[in-house]
Amino acid sequence: MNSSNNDDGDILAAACAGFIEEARDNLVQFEQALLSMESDPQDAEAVNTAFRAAHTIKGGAGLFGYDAVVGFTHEVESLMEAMRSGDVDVTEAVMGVLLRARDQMGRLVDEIGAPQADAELARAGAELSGQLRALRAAGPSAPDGVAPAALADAVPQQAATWHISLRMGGDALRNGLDPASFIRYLDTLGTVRIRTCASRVPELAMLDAESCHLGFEIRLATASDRAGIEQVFEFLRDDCDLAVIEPGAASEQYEALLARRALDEGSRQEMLALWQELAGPHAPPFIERRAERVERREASTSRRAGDDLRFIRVRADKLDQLIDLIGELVIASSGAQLVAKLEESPRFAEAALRIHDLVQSARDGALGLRMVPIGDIFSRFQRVVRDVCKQLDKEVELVITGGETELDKSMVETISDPLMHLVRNSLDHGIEGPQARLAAGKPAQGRLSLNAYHESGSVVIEVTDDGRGLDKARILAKAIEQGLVPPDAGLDDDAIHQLIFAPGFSTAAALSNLSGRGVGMDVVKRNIESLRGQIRIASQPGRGTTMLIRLPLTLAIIDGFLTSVGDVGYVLPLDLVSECIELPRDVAGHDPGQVTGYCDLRGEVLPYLDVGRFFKQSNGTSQRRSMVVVKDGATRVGLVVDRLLGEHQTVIKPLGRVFQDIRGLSGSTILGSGDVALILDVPALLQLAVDRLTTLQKDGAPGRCTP
Amino acid sequence: MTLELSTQPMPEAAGAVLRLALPMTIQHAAELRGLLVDAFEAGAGGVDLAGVDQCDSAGVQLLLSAQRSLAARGTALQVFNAGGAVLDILGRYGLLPSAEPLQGKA
Repeated sequence: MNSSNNDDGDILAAACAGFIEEARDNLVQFEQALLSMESDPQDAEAVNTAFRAAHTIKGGAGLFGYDAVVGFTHEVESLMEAMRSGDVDVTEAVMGVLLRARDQMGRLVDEIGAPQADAELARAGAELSGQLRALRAAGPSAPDGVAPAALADAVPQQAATWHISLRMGGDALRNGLDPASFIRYLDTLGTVRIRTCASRVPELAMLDAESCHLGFEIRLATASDRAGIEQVFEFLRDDCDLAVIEPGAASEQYEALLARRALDEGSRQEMLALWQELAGPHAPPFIERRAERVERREASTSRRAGDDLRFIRVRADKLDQLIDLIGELVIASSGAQLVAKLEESPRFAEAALRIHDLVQSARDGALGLRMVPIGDIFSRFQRVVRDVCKQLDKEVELVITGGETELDKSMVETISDPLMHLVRNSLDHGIEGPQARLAAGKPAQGRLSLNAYHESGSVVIEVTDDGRGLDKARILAKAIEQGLVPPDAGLDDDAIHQLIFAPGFSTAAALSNLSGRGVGMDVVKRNIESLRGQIRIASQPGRGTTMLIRLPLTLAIIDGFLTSVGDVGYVLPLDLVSECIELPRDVAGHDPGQVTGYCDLRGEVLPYLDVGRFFKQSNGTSQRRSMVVVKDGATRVGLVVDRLLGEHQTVIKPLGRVFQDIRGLSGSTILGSGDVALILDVPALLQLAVDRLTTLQKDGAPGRCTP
Repeated sequence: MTLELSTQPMPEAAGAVLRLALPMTIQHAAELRGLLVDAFEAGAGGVDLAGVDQCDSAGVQLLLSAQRSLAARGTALQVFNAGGAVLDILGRYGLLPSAEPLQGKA
């Protein structure tokens, strides 16, 4: 008894968590729809989207008995409904209240699970509810205002009679979609005659009372067009089978509909009777009663619209489990290949290779499941930009590109806060007010762009503004004042820009008149680095700033390139490897203590780092050593290793706690043989190599190795 | 298909009738179905809707299903005291005997 109660509790808790997540998604959609309504008040689709989002939240909250959410959302939904039918216009006042209502809904959803209701929140809710009701009661601002959305573009025509045949899907009622409300809404289009088709309603004994078995045959005399009629049923799209036949259609169309609807003679006769009733005694029958049977269509051909857009919600931990398993499979498959090689059995080797290929596809598929388009978080910034602009009296256009770029779901969550900070920074400090911009010869409206794209195994996110750019002199002065750098440091532009990421560097005091938001740029950098990512800044005074975030595509499994020094394996991300060369003669290492230096790669200067010496491995004097040239963005560095072992599917395992502070390593992996290999953190190594060389040069010691 | 129903009080002569006092909505549909099944098993041939103040599509569906169940036994479903809410949705669905042109309301 007890345990079953606990199970129920678990199920309920999981379902409730699902609701909260879904509600947040819906709130995002709601907000986006409001913002597009604000920019285009005639956008009927946006009104519908917002209405649908509010409706879904209300329905879900109702299931779980969150009365506060239901009550408030109901007010929002009612106002949206009035807007849908053209009774309330899209005005600035309406939008302002709706956006505040969206925030209130968000807070109510956040409050779910809190031990007690916040009285202040309830009070704010009551006040907003009052405003929503008042707006609804006020009606259209002008009598000849926006026409009902569905009629907006319709050329006035003679009312013609359409035929609509509707079969409800079983889950419609459970999903909170009552056909009555749609049929009521149909009244706004014209004159409706309707018959209910009950042939699919079973006897009580067989009836699932919460499933919907109803069907409707409707004659609609309207001046609206097909799109207008179909739009009425838009919210039902996934929960019904809808057929619309235009006025004056040939009887073949009715025959086809009949064949689709009536699968036996009984229901065929019933449909014909309904149609006869609908047509009335005086109207000519719109279908002849033909004796011959029409060829029946397969039931499956009456595919419901939107089938291809269906999603399944899966718990994230189930996915993680799957990916873990695939990871083990990858390792096991490498093991099998190794055994095949040792056994010297070509048939075994071939089979192992085939398995290896399949595992690789399965791996890509499984990792793909976790990927979500980054556009989802980009579009959240519409609201931020709108609000901050209103607050600061600036005009800024937000341009989003590359929103379809996909990113691991867990990264999306982590990256959202740092991005928010960067966007706010650009709006606060980067982009000037309209006056200042005009004075600087720029258009009054600023431009903030968010862009994302894939580049060699990474996802790159750019936040670009066309504002005043970073003030290097001020940053440097402030850094010297705070003792972050010595006064004679002689930093280049890039190094100065990097200073704003230093812990304790206060941008608020140095650069802004707007108070900080609790997150410093150092936290932004830390967040990004925790995802094995990097952030770089490019800034031109007076022209603007670009923050460039580079993140790895995935946190689980990568294509690696396996090398070794002595008997330790080192894995490099394959995407970063640009070429492998024999160790140049001039690097052949006279001084066993030399870790870094420069060499000549086809006439270009290439910094290098000796991996074995860097990690202080004692041996490292193999006969023929190699250099792997890795590139990271614009930087290239040669890594000196003993042996090249080739491509290797690498399942990233975290390093133990003891090794966590070692710089230059990002994780470990298990080879097919069962040995452990270390994964090199290439960007960190590059940084270390460059730092080392810089220090060496400063100390006067030659960084270059003499030939 | 229409439903024979009456807004009149139940005549004395009526047979066993199930008195419903729940909203005929999706929330109570499963419970109502149980009540109807039991009542018809016990020989009832009609329902009294005096206590019903709400009715949605799930309620309509229950009435249609009840009608079908009784028709299978050769009797017609009798509905008494149908109130505004029930009449409104049945009218909208074209299920009332007098269902002549339902004019759309603006």
